[in-house]
Amino acid sequence: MTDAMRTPESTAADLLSGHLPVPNSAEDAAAVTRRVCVMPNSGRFRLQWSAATIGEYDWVGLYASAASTDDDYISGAWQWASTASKIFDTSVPVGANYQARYLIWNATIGRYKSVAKTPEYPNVRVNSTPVGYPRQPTTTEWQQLVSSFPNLQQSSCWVTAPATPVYNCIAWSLGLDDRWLNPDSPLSEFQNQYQSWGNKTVTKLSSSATIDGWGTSASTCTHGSKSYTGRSVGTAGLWESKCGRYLRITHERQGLDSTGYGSIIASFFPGYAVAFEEVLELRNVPELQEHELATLTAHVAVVPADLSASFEHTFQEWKNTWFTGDTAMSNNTHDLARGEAYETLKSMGAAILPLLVNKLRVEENFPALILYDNIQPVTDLVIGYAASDPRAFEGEQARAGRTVTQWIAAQLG
Amino acid sequence: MSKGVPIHLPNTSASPEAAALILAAGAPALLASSNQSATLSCASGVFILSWSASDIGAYDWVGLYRSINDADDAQLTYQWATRGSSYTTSEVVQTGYQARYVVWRAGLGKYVSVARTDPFPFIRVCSQ
Repeated sequence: MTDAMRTPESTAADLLSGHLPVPNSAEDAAAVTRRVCVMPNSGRFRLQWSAATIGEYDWVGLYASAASTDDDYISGAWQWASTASKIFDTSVPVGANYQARYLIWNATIGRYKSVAKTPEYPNVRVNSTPVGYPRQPTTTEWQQLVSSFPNLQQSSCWVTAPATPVYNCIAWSLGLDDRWLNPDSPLSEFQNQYQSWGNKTVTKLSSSATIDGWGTSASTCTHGSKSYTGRSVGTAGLWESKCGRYLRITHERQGLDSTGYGSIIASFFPGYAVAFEEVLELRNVPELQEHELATLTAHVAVVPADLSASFEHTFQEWKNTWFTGDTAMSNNTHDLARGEAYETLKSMGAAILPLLVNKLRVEENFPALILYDNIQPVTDLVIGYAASDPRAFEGEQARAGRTVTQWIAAQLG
Repeated sequence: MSKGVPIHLPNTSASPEAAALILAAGAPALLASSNQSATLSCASGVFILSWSASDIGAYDWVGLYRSINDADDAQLTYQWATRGSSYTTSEVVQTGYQARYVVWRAGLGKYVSVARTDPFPFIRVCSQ
């Protein structure tokens, strides 16, 4: 067999049977430094490697993920390490989770074994910045920010995106800017929330972390921040936070220490376990059909007029308190379940459900889902997902939409 | 737009260039979207554009550009923003490419980008 015809499998067989001399011992091999890299080249993966000593039958290979066994390299995506260029262009299109390995023959175990592995190739996503951003905060914005976050340094604080009720900190820390994701509590659930996305928990404030989780205690988690990767503002090492409905800003890592957000209680190294395109699609809730709308309208119509008027008035009062005062920077709609108007609505009980469901049809009213969750007596009609369920990332707006659909379906029997 | 002049709004089977011609001719005022964003990612070796906005405008689109220095009308490929929330292009992943969310600005009489990604990075991953 010529060298050109050799494969890792045929070579392994010849080494095992003694048709080829064993190139080196595992002990010798351990002392040799080897490095392998993977990178894109015209949309396909390129492997590049180096080693202080390259064995005649060493090879490099590309694997679908870190979970693949050493035998399970991608067909055709391998090369002998002794190749002069030390570069090999595979035909594998660039995508997430792939891993490159450098393998040597291990005579002790009688098979090829990887001695160098890259981390999994990341799911590269580049978010946009609105034109005109980042910018320095206005005087009014700065005053509002520093009143909530007294440790904020003005020189580190840039506005990277405008205020919007659409997304909050947890969503942004995961790279989403089209939905609101409440932080789970306590800390173990909060960690599960990030880990379900694929992030790995690392030591709190670790320099390898790119996401920090915040809380006022281990039982109350409040906020998520991420390392800033946007357009340069002239200062390295900044972090970025979407502050509830308010602005998205840069800050020093612990610059948001405050009574509202507490302090950093967890840190995460990035990773991706979710099917991102599927998660994006979860945000889209089908519009109500004509017969569904008619059903809802009929139920709204039979609510007594005085209750309906009282609901309308009190709902507006409650809505006026959302994200004001001490909830101005809140990232959690559960924080809105308080105050006189809220308690009055809650005391009205299940009789207002048709009116409330009607409100939830309007996307901007999604924070009212917390009232629905608390007064709906039928637990099957309250949508909730385990942290490990990808649907947990659909966002509160989509959950509100699905709640409406599910409630109407229940009325239709 | 003066009364009685039959300006037909473009449908989104038209290209952005064709839409621009019709819109520039004086189409009725359009509802403006806000909080627009675009994201550039890749899978299977090609670029994926994804986007979001509050109240997506009927003639908003998302474009892929070879460079951050390209003009807003120099998109390599595009998708109307009303058509879903992501678009898998046939453009092979290349460093430096950029995604933009583009809206019609009646005052300027042209399409302008309102959100731009950073250039797509070159990411090399190595063993320790």
